[in-house]
Amino acid sequence: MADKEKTYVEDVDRSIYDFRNVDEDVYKVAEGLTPEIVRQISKEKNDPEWMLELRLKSLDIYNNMEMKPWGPPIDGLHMDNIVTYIKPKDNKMSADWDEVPEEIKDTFERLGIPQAERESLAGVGAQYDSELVYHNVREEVAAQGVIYTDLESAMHGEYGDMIREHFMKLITPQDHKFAALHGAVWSGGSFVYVPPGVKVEIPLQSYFRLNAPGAGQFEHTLIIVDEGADLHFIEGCSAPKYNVANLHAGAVELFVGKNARLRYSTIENWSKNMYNLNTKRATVEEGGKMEWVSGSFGSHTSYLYPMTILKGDDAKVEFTGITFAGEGQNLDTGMKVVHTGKRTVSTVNTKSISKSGGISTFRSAVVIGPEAKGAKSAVDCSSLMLDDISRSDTVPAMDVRCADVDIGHEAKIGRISDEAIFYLMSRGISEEDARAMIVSGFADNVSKELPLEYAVEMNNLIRLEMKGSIG
Amino acid sequence: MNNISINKLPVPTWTWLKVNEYKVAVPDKFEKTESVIDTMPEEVKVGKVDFTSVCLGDVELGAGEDFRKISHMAKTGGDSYTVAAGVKVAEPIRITYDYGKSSDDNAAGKLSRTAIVLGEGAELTVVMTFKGCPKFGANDIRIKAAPTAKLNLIEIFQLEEGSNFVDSIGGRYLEKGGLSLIQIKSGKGNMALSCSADLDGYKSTLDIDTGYLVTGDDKLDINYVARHRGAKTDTKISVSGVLRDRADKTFRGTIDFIKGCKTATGDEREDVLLMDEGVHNNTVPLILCAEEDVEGAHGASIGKISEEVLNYFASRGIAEDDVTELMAKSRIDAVAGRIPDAVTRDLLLSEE
Repeated sequence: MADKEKTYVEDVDRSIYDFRNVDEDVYKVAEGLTPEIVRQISKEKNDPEWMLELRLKSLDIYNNMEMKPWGPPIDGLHMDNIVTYIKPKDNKMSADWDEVPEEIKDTFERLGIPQAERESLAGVGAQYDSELVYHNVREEVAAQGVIYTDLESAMHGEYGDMIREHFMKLITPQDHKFAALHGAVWSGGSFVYVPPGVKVEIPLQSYFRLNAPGAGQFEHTLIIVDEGADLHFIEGCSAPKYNVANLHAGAVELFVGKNARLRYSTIENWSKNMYNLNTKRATVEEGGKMEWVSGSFGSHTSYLYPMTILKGDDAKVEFTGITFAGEGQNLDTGMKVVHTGKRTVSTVNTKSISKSGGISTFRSAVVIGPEAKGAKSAVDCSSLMLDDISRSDTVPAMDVRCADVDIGHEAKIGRISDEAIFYLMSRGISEEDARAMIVSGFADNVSKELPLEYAVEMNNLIRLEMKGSIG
Repeated sequence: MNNISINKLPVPTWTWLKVNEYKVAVPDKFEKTESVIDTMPEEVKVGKVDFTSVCLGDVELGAGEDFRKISHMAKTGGDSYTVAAGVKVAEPIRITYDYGKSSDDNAAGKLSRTAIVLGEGAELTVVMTFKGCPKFGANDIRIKAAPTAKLNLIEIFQLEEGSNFVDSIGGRYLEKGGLSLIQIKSGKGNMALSCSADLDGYKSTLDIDTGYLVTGDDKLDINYVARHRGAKTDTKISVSGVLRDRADKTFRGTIDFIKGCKTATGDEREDVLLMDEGVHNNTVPLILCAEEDVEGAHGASIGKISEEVLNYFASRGIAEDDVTELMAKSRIDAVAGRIPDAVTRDLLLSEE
């Protein structure tokens, strides 16, 4: 009997992101990681003294910390070959799009960032290699007291004390080796402060573009949403593909105040030579709510587990994520939540798709502290295997230290169900269309959580073209 | 005493969770455990254990490689039970192991080692009961099931307070062969349970049904691993338990779908009742998948008795304390009720 033709799902189409500018006339530090390089970056950034101390302490921690014995291999990443700081030529952070250097402006135009800003965003930040090149926020949003600017400027202004109070306090250099690396060489990123009671009706967005081959990007995002305030922040990232390893080790620290809400959406589409070793963490005060929407499509290797600390009573977190691992990709993604407040609630819904030899791992930790009486957690993860050369693993853990809790976990893995196809075919839908509908539907819970323009981008990313015949 | 790592997760996770392995202190010397054979069917051939001669020297063990070395070097001997092809043994083997009471911290460890070898189409039920209070006691069981051979293994742990015990099962199952394992942990002491199954043959199966009660400051560490290599292989793992006082329990369950195990299925469930504020529960259910054409699922439910259940019983005049006692006992009884050996089942269910 002839083999049944396999359902074919196309690779993510990255051609729209895979263009590059020639790396000339830029300022960059030497490859590798030394105290001299760290001092050089600090001088370039005009750091205050406390920041230089933090950088050097972080470097020391990095040099003395072992890699942990879990996760995908990162053998192809050699820090001696990575350039940790690259300043675009003619760089000057500007709030006027016309002042952005032509070549960089062209890059972001092709990625559709200015158009998105005009149509549907309250503010935009654009980072190119190690530096912010553009930052702007709508007048009416600024008039509400919302601060959205680059971290370096903010550090020297009236919010300097607030930044010092929060910077690398949620993600400390001791957390893991790449958090320490970030502490040593971070550059760029955004600072957002939303004052008490202010609700930002439309999202803010930061877009990160890494253009240079063999470079690292280490941006730091610090967002403080004060009591009763509300914000949706969107993060996007991409890079052209090179034959050498690139590294992304950013950090995102989010502080959600009492009764505040923050939604943080990410579409990660780094090129397939990228090691994405990013760290994201949020803390939520009483009655506050954190919402993560996360799509992981790019990178050669990813370690990505946004963490939420539900510190205040009645705090909540919702995590919705999808990971698509194709040829040559090893994407280890998931989430962590720590419940310490009473009656805190976590809800997690993730999907992963593996194809063409891609490896997808869902890794999670739900930790319930002894004081978290009345805590509830529900985790649901589903994995879809689209061929027999791929791999999909599920590695969840639940650590419960309080009796008065309600913790549930469900996971399933499999392929497209024959019964579902049969059901749809019995209603007059062709097998090809039935398979396409099922795979599209599998990712639907994430795309419907995204704002419209990002849902469109996601649909561009997952171009699911199904073809098959009855064998 | 030497520290060894046992019950390792096949794929490690964050080290700060402290669930990747379980560390135990083992003594330098070992003695064979005393055992009383309550029933031994005549169809079973009893011999001295030699794992290598029955191709069980390299079978994956539930407790892992450190434990294999300890077991190998202990040189305590042991028993082998062999059932010839086609023989379906009606009467169970019933054995009680008495691990005694260790005289001091430097006392020799107690170890029992058993090989169970089933010929093609053979069927056997083995009931093992573990008693005593060893500073360190261990049980090493290795199983080889030829095509269509079935083993029912029932382990009842009734050890005493202060004991430290490691139970390790490793086995290889050929076409339509299988293990049905029931473990009931109702005694006291710190305990590590484990079972590793290589489901090599077409339609080979693993069925685990475990009930536990952990009280006081005791620890329970569980590690089950099912490796699916054969097509249409099936695993079902059901674990149900109760934690009281300051009890500390870790459950690891891994269903590993290895490439080629087409249309294999696997399901693992854990249901944990937390009865006191000082308890600590870890649940780590893994699915590893390198085969497209499989169905795997895992689920966990952890918490106290729901308000709905309490209200239901309250409306019938039953006090909350009585309900929790009832629910706790029912979890062990439910597992005991599924023991296929009526003698053992009735004995357990009649105990208070």
